[in-house]
Amino acid sequence: MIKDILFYFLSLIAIIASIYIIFQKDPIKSAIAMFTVFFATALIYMLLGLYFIGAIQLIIYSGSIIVIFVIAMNSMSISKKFDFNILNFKNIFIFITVATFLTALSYFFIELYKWNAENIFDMKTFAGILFSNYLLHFELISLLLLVSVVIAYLFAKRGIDELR
Amino acid sequence: MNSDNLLILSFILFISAISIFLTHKNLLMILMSLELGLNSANIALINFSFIKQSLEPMVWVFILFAIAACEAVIGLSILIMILRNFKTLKVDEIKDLKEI
Repeated sequence: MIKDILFYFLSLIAIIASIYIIFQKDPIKSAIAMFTVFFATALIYMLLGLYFIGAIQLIIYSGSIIVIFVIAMNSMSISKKFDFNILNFKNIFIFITVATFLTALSYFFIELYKWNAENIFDMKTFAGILFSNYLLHFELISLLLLVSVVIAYLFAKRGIDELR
Repeated sequence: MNSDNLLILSFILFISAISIFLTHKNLLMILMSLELGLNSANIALINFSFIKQSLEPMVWVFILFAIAACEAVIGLSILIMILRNFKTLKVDEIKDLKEI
């Protein structure tokens, strides 16, 4: 019962914060709202018993990605004056179309699957699956991280060379 | 709290991510909406893990975390290069391809 109330409360916080981003002009404020969404999602994971996934969500999403965004916004210094108008006809039409399509899709998925609520997360089994069946994917992740580090270094180096 | 609520939360977050992607004109907000979409995909994958009583969707959640981090890093470095070359981040004003 208390878990139900907590789940609905956290979901409401996440939904309100994500709708707040649509109407927000300032990137810093929308980064804070994005942090709220990620934090509420991590709390929902922990509520479901997935403590490892919740901790990883806290560390990576709300810990590193939002901080990277805020630092980049500060270095760009563009936190003012975008012209943005949500209430013209084209934006409302796009919003209603996408919302109707995805609601129909979600109803289809809900009718298709039923959920059995019991905690299934086991760290030992998880590591066994990750390092046996998905070993190639794991190695590809390490390659992807290396490539992203090299790309970020090259872009930053070109910027420094232009400044000299 | 059952399957319906978790999946509905995922779809509402994805709807707002797509709305941010289609309505905003700042490239930084578009990149942030991609992060929000990946987050809603994580929620849906965890729901499927509960449905199938299996841990394999959790592995894909783990992979999506790394992909989201790499995408943020590469996207932000590209945005800084665009800002340095075009002096703006609005989508309407970035039209040339040959100046880079």
